[in-house]
Parts: sequence; C-alpha cells; structure tokens
Amino acid sequence: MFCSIASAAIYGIEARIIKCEADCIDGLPIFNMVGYLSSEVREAKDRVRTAIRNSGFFMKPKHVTVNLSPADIRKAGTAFDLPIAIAVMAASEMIPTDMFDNILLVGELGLDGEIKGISGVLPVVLAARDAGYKTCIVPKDNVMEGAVVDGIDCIGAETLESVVRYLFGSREDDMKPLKIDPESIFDEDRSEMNLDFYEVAGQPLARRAVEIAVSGQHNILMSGPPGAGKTMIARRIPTIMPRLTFDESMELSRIYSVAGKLDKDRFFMTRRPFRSPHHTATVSSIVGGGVTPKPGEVSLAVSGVLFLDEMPELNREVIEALRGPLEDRTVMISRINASYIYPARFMLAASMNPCPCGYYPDRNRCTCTDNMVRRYRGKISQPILDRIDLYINVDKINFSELNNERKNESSEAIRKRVERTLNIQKERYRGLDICFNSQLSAGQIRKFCKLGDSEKTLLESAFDSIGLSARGYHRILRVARTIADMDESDKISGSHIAEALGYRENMGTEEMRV
Amino acid sequence: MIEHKNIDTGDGLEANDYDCIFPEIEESLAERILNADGPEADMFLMQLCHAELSRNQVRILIDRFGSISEAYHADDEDILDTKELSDEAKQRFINVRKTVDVYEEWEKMRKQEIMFISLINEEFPERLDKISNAPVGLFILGRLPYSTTPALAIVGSRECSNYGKEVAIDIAKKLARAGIDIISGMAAGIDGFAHRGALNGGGDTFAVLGCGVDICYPRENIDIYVRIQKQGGIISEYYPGTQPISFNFPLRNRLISALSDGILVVEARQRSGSWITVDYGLEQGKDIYAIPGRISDRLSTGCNNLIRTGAKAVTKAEDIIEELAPKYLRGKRNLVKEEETAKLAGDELKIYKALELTACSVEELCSRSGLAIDKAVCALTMLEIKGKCVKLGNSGYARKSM
Repeated sequence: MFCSIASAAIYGIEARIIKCEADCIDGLPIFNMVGYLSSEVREAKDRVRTAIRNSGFFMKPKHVTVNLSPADIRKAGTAFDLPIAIAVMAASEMIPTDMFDNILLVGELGLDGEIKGISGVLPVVLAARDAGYKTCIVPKDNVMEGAVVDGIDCIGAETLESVVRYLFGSREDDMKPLKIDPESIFDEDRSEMNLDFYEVAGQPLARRAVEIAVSGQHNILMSGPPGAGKTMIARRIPTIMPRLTFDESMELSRIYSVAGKLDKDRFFMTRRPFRSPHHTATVSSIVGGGVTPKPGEVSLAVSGVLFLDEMPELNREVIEALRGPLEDRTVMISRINASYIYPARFMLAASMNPCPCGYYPDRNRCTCTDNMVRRYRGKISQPILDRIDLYINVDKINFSELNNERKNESSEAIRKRVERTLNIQKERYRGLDICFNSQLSAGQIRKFCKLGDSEKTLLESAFDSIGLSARGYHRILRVARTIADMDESDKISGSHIAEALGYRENMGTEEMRV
Repeated sequence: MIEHKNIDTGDGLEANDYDCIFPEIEESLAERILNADGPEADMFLMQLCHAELSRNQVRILIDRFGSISEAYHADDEDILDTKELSDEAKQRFINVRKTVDVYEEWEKMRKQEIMFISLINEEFPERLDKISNAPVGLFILGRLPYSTTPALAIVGSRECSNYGKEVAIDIAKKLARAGIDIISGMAAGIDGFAHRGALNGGGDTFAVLGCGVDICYPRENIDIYVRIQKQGGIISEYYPGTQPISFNFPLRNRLISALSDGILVVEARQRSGSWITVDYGLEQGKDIYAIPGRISDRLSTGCNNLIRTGAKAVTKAEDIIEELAPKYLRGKRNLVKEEETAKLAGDELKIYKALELTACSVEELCSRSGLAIDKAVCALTMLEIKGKCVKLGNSGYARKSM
C-alpha cells in the first residue's frame, strides 16, 4: 500500500514542505530509500526499523520503498526519521491515515523509539501553517519554539509510541497542543537587563560616540590600550538600542532556531543579540557555511550587535569576508545543490589596540616601530574601514573617575533619546528601502543631507587641510545627519559636521607625515 | 666623558689610527691622481668606490702602479702581489674589474642622473676633506651642500614621540628659513621629520644614506626622497645599488657629522645611533646641541645626558641660529612672533589653551577646558582645519607647532 505524509526541510532560514512517501509490497524484505538524500537521511532506515520494533510494534517483512519528494532537492538532517517511520507504518497498514492530510511531522528517532530534538523547528512550524496544515508534531524538546506560532496546533511528542496513539485518535495529556503567547514572555523577559551604561565610569567621548552610532545604526571602531574598557562599552550597546519588535524577534528566532541555538530556557528571542566571536573564528563561523550551511555570527547578530574584539588579530580572510554582509546586509552561501540566503542586518562594533603592544603613541611604554604600527593597522583593509562610520579612541580612565560617586547616565535614559532619533529617521525614510542614516546611498545623501553655503565651505576646507577623501565625505555626511537628528534639527549645521569630522577614520599613517 | 668608539672601517685600520694621517697627505693624493691620470681619473675612481676601497688603499695602488688607470688595467697577479692591501680589498677590486665596463657604468650613471664627485673634484666638500677616513668619492642625486653655507645635522630616534616630531619639524623649518642647511640620514622618525621641516620651510636639506642613492630606504620616505633631490641632495659614499645593510648605517653617520657645523639631537635613548653621530661630531670638533626632555621620558634620557656632559640645551631655533647664522638674527627680535597667530575665540581658544605638544585624549581636554564632549570634538575639528592642532591616529590631539 502507498502512503504519504508531510514533513519539512530547512533551506537557509526558510522551511520547505517535503512529502515522505512510503510503499509496502510483498516481496523480499528490503528497505529502500530514494530522493536525493544525504548520508544522515539515508541512515534513517536503520533507526526507523529498530525504533518501530522497540516501540512494541511488529513490522511484517515486506519490500519497503521510501521516497522524499520533491526528489530534486537535497535533503539533510535527521528531522525525517519520525515522518518516515509513520509513513512506513501507515503503508504497512499498521495505523490509520485519516489525519494525514492535515498533519506535519518532524523529529529524530532514537533506537528505543524516543523522539529527539532537532534544529529549525520554528521555520518548520511557520511553513506548515502557511501551507495550511492544522497540526504539527515536533520533538518535545523543541515544542516551545513552535508554540509561539499562531494559527496552528503544535504538539510536542516524546516517543514514537505516543505519536502512534495520537494517530489512533487518543487525546492524552502528553499530546495536547501547547500554546504560548509570545507577547507576554516578551514583556516578562525584557524587564530584566543585567548590564547598564551607568556602570561605565567616565568615558564621555565613547558614550557620545556610541550613542551616535546606535542612533543612526552606524558601525563603530574603538581603539585604545588594553584595559581601557572597550569591551565593557561594547557589551552595553544593545541596552541602549530600542526594544526588539515582535517581527524582528520572529526573524531572529528563526535564525537561532535554524542554528540550533534555541532550547527550553530560551525558545524565543526577546532581546537584541550581542555576538562577540573570538578572534580565532573562521570564515564560515562568521559569515555562515559548512557542508550543510548554517547561519554564521553575522546572521546571529541580526537586529543586534556584532562585536569584533581585537579586530586586527582576526584572520585577514575573515575580515575581508565581512565586506559582503556589511554592504548587502545579507549573506549568500552557494553550494552545488543550492544557494542559501541569510539576513545580516547587524551593527558592527569593533575594537583594536593602536599597535601590537597596545600603548602607541605613549613612547615610554610602546616600543613598536612605526612600521610595526603601520603593518598592524594595515591588517584591516580600506574597504572594511570604508564601511565603518565612527572611529574613536578609548583611553584608560584614571582612579578618581573610577572612584567617582556621581552616578552616570543609565541605559534607559540614553535609549529614550535613541528611540526618538530613530523615529525621526523612520518618518523621513518612510516608503524607502532604508530605515537608518547609515544606509543612505550617495544619491540619497544628496537628497537628505542638504548643506548651506557655509557648511559647504567648511567641508571644502576640511578636504584640503585634513585630507578628507571622497569616500570619507559621504561617511561624514551620514554621521552629521545623525547628529543633526539627535539635535532634532532638520538642517545639518557646521557644528554637526565638525563633530562628525572628529569621529572620522584616521587609521593611516598621516600622523607620521607632515 | 664620551668614549671614542672603535669602528672598523674595513681596511684593517681603526678609526683612531687615522688621527696620525695628516690632511696634507690626502690633498697630495688628489694632486697625484690629477697629475698621473688627468680628469679622466673619475671614471676609475668610481670603480674604486665600487670596490669600497679607502683613500689609504687608493694611495697604496698609486704607489705601486703609478696611476689609477694603470692599476685598473694591471694583471690580476700584480694586484694580488700587493702586500699592503688586505685580501678582501684585493678580491673586491679584482671582481669589480672583471664584471664592470668602466665606460658603460659611467654612461649608466649619467643616464640615471647620479653625479659622482671624487676627491680630485673642486666640488668635493671641504668639510669632508678634513676628517680622518674621508671617502674617495660621493654619489649624489641633486647637489652637494656648499661649503660656505652653515649646516646643521638633526638626528634622533627612529621611534620618536609626537613631541620629538613637532620639535624636529619646527626647528628644522625655522633653521631652513634662516638659510641653514639641514643634514640628516632620511631614516624613519626624527631624521625624516627634520627633512620634512626643512623642505616645508623652503630650505635646502641633504640626506646621507647608508645605501646606494638610487635606493629609497625606508620606503615610506619616498615623498621626501623625491623632494630632497630638488631642494638639496641625496648623498652616499656607497655605489648605487648597494642594499641597506645595517653595518653601513653607523658608518655614514660620520659623513652626516662631517658635513655639518653642529649636531642637534632631538630625541635619543641612552644608547642609540644618534650617539654614534655625536661621537663622530666630538671627534671632528663639531658643536653638539640637544633638546631637553622630561626626565621621566626614556626617549629623552640621551638628550638630557648630553646636556649634562656639556651639550648646549636648545629650547628655540634662535639658540642655534645665533651661533650658525648670526647675521640672520640681526634686526629680528623674536622669531616666534613672526609665525602668524590666527585669531581664535570661544571654544576653540579654550581648547587650544588646553592642548600640548604631546597627545591628549579628548576627555582630558574636556576636563581641562570645561567644555562638553560634543562641543570639544567640534572645536578640535575646527582647530584641525585651521592647522592649529593635529589628530594623532585614534589616540588624541596635539598642538600642531610650538
């Protein structure tokens, strides 16, 4: 008898419905699987056969053929174990098939019939809902992820046996659909934040620059000696970003679901991510990749901050690989079988020491030669520098500041201002494909960053006297736009430009020139 | 006090031993060559320089073969037979004769616009003839300094601070305006900044290299390398194409010192290349000047020690000008006043007063001037545009000039 049931496979951060077809006929007892399968899917046949037997069912020796359709896309992962088992049992006429049209199954099987967790449940449930399925049976471990999706029953199953019982019509407690209202966990979770900007002592320049960066979603690079507090500041950037919206968190949760980074404790992303990969990270861990592609750090940092500590210590290829994501705000990973697209809209915060030893230009401590300093800075190539709008120096603070009793501004207060500035931008760019000043293209800059005559003269003299480049020109205007927005000023004034110039890139060796 | 360093000059004699050779003998060497070979001798002298022979060794060759061209065309056996020459020198000479066509090389230099001035030329700097182990000839891109123009060598650390940088530029610029030639080694750090200051001041400056004049080392200085050829000259005693090997650099310091009337040390650690130049300077009877630094700055320990042992402490360009070019100062009260002081006001003035020659962080400047951070950043940029301060990478701001 032939039988078919729905399952799903992950492609990028989307799920596609895959039909598991099984056919049982009399003949030599053979278990055959087709449908462009990777080896872990092929291995399912042994898991399935054993799991069925160990769950207390007896499968008659028959010639079994399983096909995963459409047969022209590659299937990977272990999520097909459960649907294959159910399809095979149904084809052997062991279970009724009347519910099969409305149900979608995913899950990995253990040899004892236990259903184990898989990654990417959230996109699967979303795809199931969109395809019109009424029920989705997922591993118990992942049920919370799926339960946030509205409009579909999501059931967490622990064993193959309980799924079979469910298909026979039994409605026991352990197979009840779970419902979670995402809004409520949202409110509950975002009330507590354990990091706050008031903990950062002193550092007015860094505070100001970070606020500008967040207000326009500009990328920022902090340079300074070891122990100056660069990482401490960076960690607090998400706390002054506006709250995550439901749509943003849905997208983010999808990515985390695919990456297998959601679990019972954190089944839905309620906070902006802060990703700080170690500087030994590889290209595929940063931009995504692998034999079965997984999203990388740039995608895990979507709507949040990607912090690259000690940026020059990263491998050159890793730094260069960031060019695409920074420009396109997506990552495309091409494999022979398919291309996968992951979102990559993150804010980059990077830190670096001014030289290999970290103390340049304090010549009493730094013994690096000019060449060493130059080489060290040269590790970050110009195309990457061009994509960073703000450059600041973070110096060590002295003891009196550290011991200062005066309370610094809290994240809450800064965030209020940031939200206001971001709203101004949202209004201005309504109907355009951009939301932030940092995304302004050269043409848009001409439109939204109009300058008066005196401002033009100022920029012109900056061109001559401090060697501003054409690329730098656009960066300055973007930052000046944000500073003006923070001032709630429609017009960009000279002081906005002058301040923006103060945060310009100065990584080269101009200081060694005259 | 400062000890003499025993530097091996490559001919088996030590620097000190040259004290016994009188300049008169050297002069007569030039005459002897002219008498024996005529002006054509230059072509052969150039190849003797190629073989890195010293004046002493050239004299030995003349003593034996009568003239340079004859020495150049002598049989290998005869040269190997010259007992007074060291084996290495003989081998170098023979190798050069084997591989090089004198006339072709001469043409090649002409095409590359490299001048060769040997001891028989009138243009050969008088100041060099006075030192003990003077070179046989010099290779030049640009021109040689005039013997009548006062000249000062500015030397210092390769890894200098912003203080050293600004001082070197400022003093070199003012001295250049006063008509004093600035001599240095075109190395990274102070050397390069001294050249830059002189170039920007519109004066002439001369770089004595430890490699061939056709090689720009360090490469970052390519801009001044090109500019110096028009505003002064690149000088080397090494044959064009000689690679920068560390051994040559201390040795060229004797020429830096010899070409100058005085040596100014801007920033130097206790034991550094600058001390070699100072040693040569003392040996050659030059005045030593030093820029005082803070006692806590390791980069200034060398300078401060020089001052303690008798070098003249220099706090402004006039300290040097009054000794090297006193005429220039006549009628001029204060050189510093000459520098135009643009009118600053408001936030800019407040910040400008807080600035120093060493880099200060923006936070520091804020607390000194009492300005808010955004105002301070704004004012600093305006000062930068006006050329009053400089942003030092990502490490803060410093005053542009003294």
